[in-house]
Amino acid sequence: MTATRYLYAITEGFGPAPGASGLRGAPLAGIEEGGLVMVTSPHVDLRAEADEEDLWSHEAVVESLFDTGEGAILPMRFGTTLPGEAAVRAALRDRAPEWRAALDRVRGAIELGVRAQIDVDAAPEQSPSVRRTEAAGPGTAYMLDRLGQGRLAAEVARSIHAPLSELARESAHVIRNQPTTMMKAAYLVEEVVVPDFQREVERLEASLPDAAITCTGPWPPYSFSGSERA
Amino acid sequence: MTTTSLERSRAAREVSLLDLVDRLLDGGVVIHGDITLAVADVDLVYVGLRALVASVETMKREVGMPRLGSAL
Repeated sequence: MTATRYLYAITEGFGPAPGASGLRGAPLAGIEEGGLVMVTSPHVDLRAEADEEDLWSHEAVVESLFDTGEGAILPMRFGTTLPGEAAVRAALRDRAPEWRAALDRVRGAIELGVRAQIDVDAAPEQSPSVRRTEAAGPGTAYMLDRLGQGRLAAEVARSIHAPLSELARESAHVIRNQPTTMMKAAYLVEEVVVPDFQREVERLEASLPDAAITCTGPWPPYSFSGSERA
Repeated sequence: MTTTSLERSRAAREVSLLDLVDRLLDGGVVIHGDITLAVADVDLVYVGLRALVASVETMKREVGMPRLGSAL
């Protein structure tokens, strides 16, 4: 039997609602040290699995803390555990300066995700570099075609990212291994700026017919919580 | 103060498993060291999830294309 604490989020001093539960229905407990609270649940022989149910359980707890409006929070990465309450307190002590700085960075802001699927095949009329490839041999044409599409997609991605990052406190191109035609980014946006941001996404959607833009959020600041930010 | 605008955007929110996975597995605070969860276990389920995510993306692309074509 191995007792562990599963970790959901760090808050600037407030705990979970009384009686609230988390992963596998375990009761939530806030562990406070020096003004920071780690929201946890106790488990025995826990094997957190990245299946849909566990992912949503983690997210539900983080969101409930985020939604209280009591202050800033830092979500933990999914699957993070420590051996017990003493280890949680030690972590809160050891990393307090770093986590306080991160809480300051995200306070008063929310995370918005933007994904754009860029349809490069729909745009050759607008791209002379792609059209020219018809004169070359089939192998070369294919390579030039791919290069042209990559350039075109990068151009569209830039024209989406530039105006949105201006509205954000911070931005991050988050995800690895994306195909060139998929643009993904996260933006840390002041709560009061959210309507402006949404209007800008709508304007971009209307002005860029070759890109299907999806904006999701408000998310807790997952992409802006760590020192390992992208 | 901003509750109303936040509620409005939350109502418009499109919750996607893809975005959730990106955030929970790539984002968040990382604690090095005393993690009792075996890394190998995470990697194994991670592979399974990526396959699931790929199918979500394919579905989105298929839904997205006709609208794009007609927009030209």
